[in-house]
Amino acid sequence: MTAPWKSLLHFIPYLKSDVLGLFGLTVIAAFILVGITAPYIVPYPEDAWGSTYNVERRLQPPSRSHIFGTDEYGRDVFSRVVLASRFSLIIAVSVVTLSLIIGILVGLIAGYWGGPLATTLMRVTDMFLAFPSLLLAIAFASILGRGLFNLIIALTIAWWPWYARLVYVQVNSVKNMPYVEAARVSGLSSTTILVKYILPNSLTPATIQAFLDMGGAVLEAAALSFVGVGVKPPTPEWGLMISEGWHLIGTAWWVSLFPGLALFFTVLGFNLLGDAFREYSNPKTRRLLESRGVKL
Amino acid sequence: MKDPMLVVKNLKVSYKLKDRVVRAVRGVSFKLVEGQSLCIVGESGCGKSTLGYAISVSLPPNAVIEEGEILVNGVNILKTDPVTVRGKLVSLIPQDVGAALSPLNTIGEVFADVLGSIGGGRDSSLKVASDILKSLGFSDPQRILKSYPHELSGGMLQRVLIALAISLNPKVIIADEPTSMVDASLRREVVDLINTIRYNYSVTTIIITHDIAIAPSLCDITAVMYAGKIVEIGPSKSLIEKPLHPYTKMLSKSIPRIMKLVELKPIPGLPPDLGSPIKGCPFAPRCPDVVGDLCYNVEPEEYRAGGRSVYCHLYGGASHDTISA
Amino acid sequence: MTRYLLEALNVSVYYALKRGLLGGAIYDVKALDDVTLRIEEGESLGIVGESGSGKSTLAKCFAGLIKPASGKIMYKGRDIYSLKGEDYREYRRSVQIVFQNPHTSLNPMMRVRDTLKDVLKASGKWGKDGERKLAELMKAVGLREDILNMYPMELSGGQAQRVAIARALAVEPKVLILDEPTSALDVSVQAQILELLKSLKKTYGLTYVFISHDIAVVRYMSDRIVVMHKGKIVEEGPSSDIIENPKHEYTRSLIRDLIKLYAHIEEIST
Repeated sequence: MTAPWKSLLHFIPYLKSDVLGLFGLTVIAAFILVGITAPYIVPYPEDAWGSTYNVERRLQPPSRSHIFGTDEYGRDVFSRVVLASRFSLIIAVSVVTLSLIIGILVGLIAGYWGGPLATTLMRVTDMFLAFPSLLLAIAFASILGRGLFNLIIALTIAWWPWYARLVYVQVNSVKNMPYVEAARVSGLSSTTILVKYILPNSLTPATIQAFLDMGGAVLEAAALSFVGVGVKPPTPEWGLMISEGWHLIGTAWWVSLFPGLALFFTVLGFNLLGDAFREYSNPKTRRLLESRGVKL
Repeated sequence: MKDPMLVVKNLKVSYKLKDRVVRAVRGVSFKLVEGQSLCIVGESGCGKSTLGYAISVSLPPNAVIEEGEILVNGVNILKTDPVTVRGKLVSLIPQDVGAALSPLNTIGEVFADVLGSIGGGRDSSLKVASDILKSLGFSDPQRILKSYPHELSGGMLQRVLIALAISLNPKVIIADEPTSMVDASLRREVVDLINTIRYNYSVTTIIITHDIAIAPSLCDITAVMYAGKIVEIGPSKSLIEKPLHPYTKMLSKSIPRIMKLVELKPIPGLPPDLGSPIKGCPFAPRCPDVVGDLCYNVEPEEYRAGGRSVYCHLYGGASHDTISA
Repeated sequence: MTRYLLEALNVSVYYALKRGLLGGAIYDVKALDDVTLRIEEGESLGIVGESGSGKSTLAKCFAGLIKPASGKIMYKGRDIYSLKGEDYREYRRSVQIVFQNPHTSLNPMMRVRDTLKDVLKASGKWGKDGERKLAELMKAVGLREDILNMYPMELSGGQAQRVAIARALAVEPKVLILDEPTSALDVSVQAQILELLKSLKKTYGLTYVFISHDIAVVRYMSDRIVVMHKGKIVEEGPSSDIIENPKHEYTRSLIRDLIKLYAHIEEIST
């Protein structure tokens, strides 16, 4: 048996017993691979980055040379869809990681020290939570202006309060556990208690939520780009591409459809993986699987 | 002689873990008639809870019944749809009173759901529930039915759970450690309550406990379990006052008395690992009265005397008269 | 210099049931109501009472985990909340507590070795011979050394409680506050732990405050018994007096109930 947090390493072997989760992992792994290697494998790298404008091959339907067709500027949609996976993944991972870090810090400080500081921090958190996160992100993105970095900041501002809440609630129950009281009686310093006793025992719900939120982050980033406050054109981004092709949906359906499908599969992949992780973190499931001879 | 209400025949239950099989119950048999009550006593890990879960058809999913049968009123409950057994033939009073009821439902809603499962309407269900609660000593059952679990004290919740357990008129009730999580001062109340349902509803009861000393005030018969088997079974009073098996003797010496200051003699060592095969008598390594190699090599058979059965080589050569003396 | 090691002087503790909008308590429950109790060095004091009697609150006050709303907790004649520097650290080391549920009183994320090591380090007792000290601690509480490499969830209740006792002993305390240390354990394991505690007391010359709802267990462990009920001390005296000649009706009912439940075992001759 290993420490509970070390069992994170066993998540991948666990997926052998969870077909949907394995499917999710495969989809995400494929998108990551494609995202990293995109500039070298796509047929039209210049089109992918968006620096070209070819009037003569505008809005061509899918064919052998352009399997997803071309857009209004004559760019190869396939190349752009493939490269865009890189940006979506960067956005999703950055937003969730940054939000989780801020959430942990705020939740831990408010939960451990309590008092007026906690009240203030949690009231601020509640204020953010009162608005739908998408509206909040749109508002901040419009203030900050377009761009990849600003998009990540805007989404992080909208998202961290959810993690702060989760961590805060957990810290509040963990800090009254007898093992924390015993540590205090043993004379351990506040730092040791916070880092070794409270923090590791308070992270599970927020980590599960972070896994579940990856798909949501991809989707919200696309939504922001779709409404025109996300990344700057001509950066390839699925939401932006859908929006660019939206008015042509009746005539040149391929311009919006393929980025839409890519978005759909990424979100699905993340959600299936997130669900699998939640199941995996449930001690009851693990016991059941152990009984079926699955080595964890 | 009445027909037996509960018959357990050579029951063997094991748990499949990732790398091994743990044989929690290794062949248990006993019979109880209507209204009789049995205490199953033993240390944690002796298989007593597994036995209780098996009889109440609520074993965890990784448990396997390898052999044996359980008959309730002549019905083999292991071969029957659990839905028709749970609550109706056999019901379980859970150990963790605080976690047993959903915090979102009132007690009345819980009763309506349970009684509704046999086709009772809401009003008639609540009427039945209030009668049962009244019989268990609640002076204002209507108020209890309108309460949420967190509004009731631990003692009241325990009573509500007992009321729920008998609400479908089961033939057998199993209580898992009903007295171990409660204060000494509440313990007496719980014991009285269990005795009330035993007599008023003439239901066959099984009490699972680690506290051998409480057995005579709860049950007619006591079975002492060790390493998945019964090592001694007989009328509670005589079993406590004159234990035969060395393990039973040692168990009763580990309980502090109140009026006399008697030195406690803890049992040395640990129970055997049920994941590995056991040779001979499972208690032999901890037993102060080992009779040579016999104990380590041969599993003791049943020796009967005076309504008592004991599985120990000490009594192998003795005549039945000497045991009962 | 007082002859008392620990004292609670007119201690009251309130628990807020509900909190108001601005953080003020709206409704208070008295957990301890003007309790005065003095503990002499080397004695075994037993505190008995039902849940809600305030006995665990009193234990936490002595351990410095709950600050009384009024009254004082004194260590060697000085208010523990006025102690500074080395004096405070001496109190902190000298008074240790063992809780009821051994599994929740150990950090589930840490191996036994690391739990004990942190405690030794914090009290400046970790040095070159650290490993030897760990081995000695395990020996003192009757555990094999390989338990050091285990996580709490791998231990049985009895083993986990022994680890909790080892953690308390690691800082070489004077007083152990034992808050229902055996209530979550089997009677057979309870007997083992009680015997262990008795022998540790002799070996290390400890002072015990033993808290339980079970008056038979308290009697077995203590020279003097304090009976608590609804946040107050209702009776106090030498163990045999309290048992054989209880004055307060509540004490009488505690003993009566126990005798009724355990009549058969009480009658057995030994």
